[in-house]
Amino acid sequence: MMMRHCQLLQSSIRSVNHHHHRHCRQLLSITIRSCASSNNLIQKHPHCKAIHIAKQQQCRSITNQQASPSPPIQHHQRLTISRAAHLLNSLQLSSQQLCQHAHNLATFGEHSLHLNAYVKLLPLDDVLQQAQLSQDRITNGQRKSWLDGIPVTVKANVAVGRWWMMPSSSSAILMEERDNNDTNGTATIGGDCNNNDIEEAEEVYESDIAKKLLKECGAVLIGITNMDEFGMGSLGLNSGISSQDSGNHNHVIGSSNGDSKQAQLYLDKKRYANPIYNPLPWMHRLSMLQSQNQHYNNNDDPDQYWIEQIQNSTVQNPHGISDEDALEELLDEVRYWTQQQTHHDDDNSTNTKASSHDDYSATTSPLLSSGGSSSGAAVTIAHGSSLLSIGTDTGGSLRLPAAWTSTVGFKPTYGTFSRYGVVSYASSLDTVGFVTGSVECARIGWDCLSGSDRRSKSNDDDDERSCVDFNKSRDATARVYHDDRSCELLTSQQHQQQEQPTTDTTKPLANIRIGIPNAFSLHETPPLIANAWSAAANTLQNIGGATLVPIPESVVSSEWIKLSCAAYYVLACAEASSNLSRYDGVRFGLDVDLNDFANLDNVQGYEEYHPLSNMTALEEKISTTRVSGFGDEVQRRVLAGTSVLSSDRFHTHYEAAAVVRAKVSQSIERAFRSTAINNGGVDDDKVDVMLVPTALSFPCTLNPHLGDRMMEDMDPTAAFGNDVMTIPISLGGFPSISVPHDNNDNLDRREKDVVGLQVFGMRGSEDIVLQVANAINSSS
Amino acid sequence: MMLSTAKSIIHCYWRSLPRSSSSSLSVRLLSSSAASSQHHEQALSYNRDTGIISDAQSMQPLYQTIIGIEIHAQLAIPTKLFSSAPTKHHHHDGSNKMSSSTASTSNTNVHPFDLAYPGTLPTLSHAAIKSSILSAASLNCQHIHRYSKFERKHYFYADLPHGYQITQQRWPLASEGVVLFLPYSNLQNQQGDDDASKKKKKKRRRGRDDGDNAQEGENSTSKDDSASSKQQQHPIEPVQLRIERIQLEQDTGKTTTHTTTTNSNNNKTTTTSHINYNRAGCALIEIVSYPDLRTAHEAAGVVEKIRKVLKHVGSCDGKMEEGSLRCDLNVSIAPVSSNDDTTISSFDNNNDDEQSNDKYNLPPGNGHRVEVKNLNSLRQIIAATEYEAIRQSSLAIQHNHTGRETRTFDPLGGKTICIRAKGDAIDYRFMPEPDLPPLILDETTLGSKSLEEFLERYMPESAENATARLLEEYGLGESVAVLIASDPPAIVLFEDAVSVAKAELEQEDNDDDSVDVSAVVANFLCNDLYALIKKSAIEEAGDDEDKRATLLNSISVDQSTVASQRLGLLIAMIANGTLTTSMAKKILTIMYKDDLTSSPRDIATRNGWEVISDMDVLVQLCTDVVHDPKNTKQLEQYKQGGKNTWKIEKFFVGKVMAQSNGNAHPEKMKEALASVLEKVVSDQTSSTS
Repeated sequence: MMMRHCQLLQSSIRSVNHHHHRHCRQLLSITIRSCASSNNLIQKHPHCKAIHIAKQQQCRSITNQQASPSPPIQHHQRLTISRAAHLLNSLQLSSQQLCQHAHNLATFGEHSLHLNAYVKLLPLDDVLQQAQLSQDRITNGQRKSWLDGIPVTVKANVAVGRWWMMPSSSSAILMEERDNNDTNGTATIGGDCNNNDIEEAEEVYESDIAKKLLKECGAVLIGITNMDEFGMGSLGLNSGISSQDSGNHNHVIGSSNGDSKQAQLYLDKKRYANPIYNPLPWMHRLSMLQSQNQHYNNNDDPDQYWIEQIQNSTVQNPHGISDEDALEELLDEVRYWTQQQTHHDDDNSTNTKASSHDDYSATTSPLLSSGGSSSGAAVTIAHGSSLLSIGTDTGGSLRLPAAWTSTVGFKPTYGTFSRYGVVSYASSLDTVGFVTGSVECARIGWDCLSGSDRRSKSNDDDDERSCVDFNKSRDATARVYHDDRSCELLTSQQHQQQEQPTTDTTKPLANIRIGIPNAFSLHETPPLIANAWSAAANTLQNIGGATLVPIPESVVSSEWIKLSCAAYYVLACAEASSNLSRYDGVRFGLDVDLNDFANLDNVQGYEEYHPLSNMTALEEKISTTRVSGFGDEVQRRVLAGTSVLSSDRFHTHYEAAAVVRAKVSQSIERAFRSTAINNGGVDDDKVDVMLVPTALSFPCTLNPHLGDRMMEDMDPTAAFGNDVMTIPISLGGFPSISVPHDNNDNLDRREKDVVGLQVFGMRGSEDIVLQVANAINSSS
Repeated sequence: MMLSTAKSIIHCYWRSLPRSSSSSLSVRLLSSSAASSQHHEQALSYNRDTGIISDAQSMQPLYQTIIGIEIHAQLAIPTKLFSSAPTKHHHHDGSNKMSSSTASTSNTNVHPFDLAYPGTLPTLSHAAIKSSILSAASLNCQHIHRYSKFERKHYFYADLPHGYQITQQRWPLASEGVVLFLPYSNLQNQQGDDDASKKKKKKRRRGRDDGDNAQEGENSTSKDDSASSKQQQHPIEPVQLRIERIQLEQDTGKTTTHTTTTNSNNNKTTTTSHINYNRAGCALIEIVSYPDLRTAHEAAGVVEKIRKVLKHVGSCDGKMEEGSLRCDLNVSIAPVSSNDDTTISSFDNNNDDEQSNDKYNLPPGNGHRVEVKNLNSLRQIIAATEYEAIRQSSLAIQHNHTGRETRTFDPLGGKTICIRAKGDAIDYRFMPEPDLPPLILDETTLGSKSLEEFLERYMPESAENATARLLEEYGLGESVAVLIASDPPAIVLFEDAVSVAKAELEQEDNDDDSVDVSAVVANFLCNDLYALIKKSAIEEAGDDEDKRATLLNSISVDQSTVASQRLGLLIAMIANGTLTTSMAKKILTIMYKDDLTSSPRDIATRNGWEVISDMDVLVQLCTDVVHDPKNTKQLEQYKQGGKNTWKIEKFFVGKVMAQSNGNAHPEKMKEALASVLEKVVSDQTSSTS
């Protein structure tokens, strides 16, 4: 889906204009300087500090706003998968009712709360049709899995058969012989490709994970979630979808000849993209309104509460707020804040509503970033419109939004879920995972989805698709582990049924050793996060009975951890520049009309988009397609990647980054118990999992009224710092989960002060990771 | 998607040029600069056999060509390298009849991966691993690496769907191979000898030879050549080419441009590019050589040799005209000293080339190497080398050295055309392929415990070894042995047929050693069976010349409808005297075309073909003919004797043969006839005396 908006960029062919050079340099100066040569790797690297200084400034500007004490999120307010499955299985609720409610919430979220969480919300009929099938199975006692009949969403970079939208020009080339009666050469570009062919092509193309989730597990798809373009970004600001967008704009509209307005339209679309908003502020307000509801207060039985809630759900009021005036007031405020300041400046003067919003303009914006890049996934979970949301995590794309929306983001070992059908960003890091409302839900999702991965099992000749970067034995271990799980799965459902809901024994983590790596303790960590970190660690020790083991600098070095951020951006950008080269406008990408762009250099503000004169026609087309299709962030990363792969930088940058990656990965690995590396070593200082914060910052405040960048002082590269805590884990391919930690004692907490803590373990140790995470989740 | 304005995309698939008759060609090359051309015009000539560029008038040697090659061979496997899409080598019905000539509709043999659908991932074909390992082993690679890696090579082009090609760069599949071969001209000489000895046959064949392909001519010559060739008067030293590495990689799609001019719009010319992705993602091996070649004929000879070797192990069909095997040449020139024609004394250019007197270790220097891409026939290789030799030399004479550049060959104009000059070199931004694990040749990938075991199991006998074995074990003539050995199915057919024939004879307790079964089988195989295969190929092709060339180029016993069993039985019948050779030939034709199942014995019986070798019967037959009243005149003449009696004898032979319906054993019948005639004469003598 996002490709439609974000395709392209002619990067390698001399099209780099000054504007892009500037960004490119900025990026490189921060991420790459430190890797100047592999010999210098262990020098001091100021870039991480630079990032954190930038972040602190940002934080400071945010702290100025009002701190309104608010009730912490009560976890029973979020419907869990096990409860929903229980209600379905006991026939107290039908899947249609449940999914209708989810669809109502989704519609409400999109149209009333303007969350922008979905790129495509399925028509209600489609949803109910799926739910009907699930319900039939459940009624007949043929439930496929715990997820059967459960509303789920899928990130836009994951192909989901007919609901997923491929770039429209993809199958145009399948018609070699075409009508050549166009007299005007330019008119033959795009426009008239056969739509039937395209639909057929879409129909057959489904990712492994979607097939697993929807076909094998029977989950009901509600919609496709929004994301940062190609997964690039950590704030949910780069979705590339603007409010003006409605229909399909792949095709060049009309027969434009040299219409520079048309070209401007393309370029503007990505400039004024809508952010994906964090629902937390509204959820707080809604839960306060809910708490005034009579029936809520009188109802202690959560099952009964949810049955009522779901049965009374309407599109206008899915949260069941009885005070409709208060709800209307809230929605009015939402409208005021989310109303995006467009580039049509003249709109300001004619804004008739301005006077009625004077109350709000005096306060700071309540809008928060949802984190990225799986922003939509986390938002749909936080808002409740789905119970499990498939996403991808490259450098923290599941865990950061989960931390910022107070949900659970789970990234299993690299290569556990097949990447087939998932749009590649950085192939060696991309990991399919999901967001859920609680660790318990994640556990169910993991059990259902980690069963036999059909494609990698049925094809004899692609045994080794996953686990690319692991050495041979690691690869084999991952696969053995994989096989074990699929065998277990047959019995796991029964286990689940007996064990759910889990009743913790006195010391559930008695034999587990939890490492607290000093290297992740950076002085930029805000006190609130540091406190949550130690509180959680104490909980695990005191209540769970786990052993805490500080991991010294000598084992996991903070130098390597700091370097990993730079290494990540070198490697990820390099792979991205390669993976994105296919969006050249020949098969994928915008169908731009070169003539539209021909006169752009005369239009103020658009001069930079004119291609260079020494290009061939094909190069010019590719360049224009990519420059007008890719968003700024994507262009920056493609350029950076192109740069680090060039023959004069490959050794000094790419290879140096690969060395850092190996070092980081090895040093973390060395701290874990029972890994191949430390076979001979003493186990005393080894651990099973490690506990670190997910992010060093809180969701940043967004204010659309400030203009198209939302945060004027935000350096494009400062957002890179959001991933410092998650990147080292991604580099090693370790399984990791981000769990919200709510410190109930802290009464000064602001709405945005959500803390995510990350539990990660050795590759293949998902079960222990989930176990420890569950202890944190259920205790906080 | 049409690239309507992509005028710059020139991608044509040229038809071959008519062959130039002389092996040395003078080209007068004008400098591109008009000012200097007047002063520096010089006629040069290039000797394709020595690789020497000399002054056309004084014949003063000036430069020597130094050539390296890169061969792209498409693996003959049923799927693409990284996807399950079928290739032209995919046979739906399981038959191995030639179906490749019927090309698939454009853009039908594509898997989403081949079109670079976002999210699709490569999976390595096991057949490609097998096929490429066999190729590497057949080119004597010292190292077939247990661990090799794929990398991405980036560039933008419409027919490269991913924007990168998955190839191998720093960790290739195999390295350090060696090929021994004869230069092209020597292949030609050999053909000349054969022509002399087989003049009559050759003449007849000319009619249907289109003379297009050198290798085709060469093949057909040796295939029809049954007689053991005369020993070469000058044994030719084979030349050695070292292979630097062999790597697995993807092929690209094909772009074709169509230009249409319309009158309605001010005669505006519209160029559209059509892209066919059927070839995109097909498995290639790239064979990169060291610059060991010195002459145009060496370059052509080694390509032909490698083509045969790959065809022999079954990894490539070798159809250059279909693009299954394409070749890039790296041509550069080095000056030769005036007092010595063959050794290279120094480099006369400003580049930092290393100096070396060792002919075979001479580096081409990276300063002035010119790459000529995508040559599709031996003649193009020769023509392109020659053109480059003279072009580079005349520029060098003007001290206007060519930089390192990439050129393409225009077979219509017989010229190379610059497509990329030195400054425009593409930075391919190689990057390890993150979607594929390293290729490790272990039990999982090989299906065998070790590489040795794998080769033992799958590697066909090399043509050289097979030839030696056929010579030794079966005592075949060299040319016949070479011919059989060059076609692996023929080796199997030959050996099976011989054993069938021998078993049959043994069963009959026929210990008559007078007939050499092996020789007869070989003779039938090489002459008659190949002729039948070729004939049916020509019939299949009809008037389609391209198709005919294609089919003739891939003649193999594989396509024979007569298997070893029936051939063996047929030969046994010759050996035991049941059939004459000419009868057997007739039966073979029937077996090949009309009756695909019956045994040769049944066919012989049905047609009443059985040799009469019983002396009494023959004598009776001869007596009847000789004393036939119709033949009284001839008999009387014979009785008179004289120098023309042999004519009469011949007459009677014909008559007897006709009388016996051709069944009479020729030698024995002659013997019988002689005795009958002798009797007649002696009777006459006795009666008159």
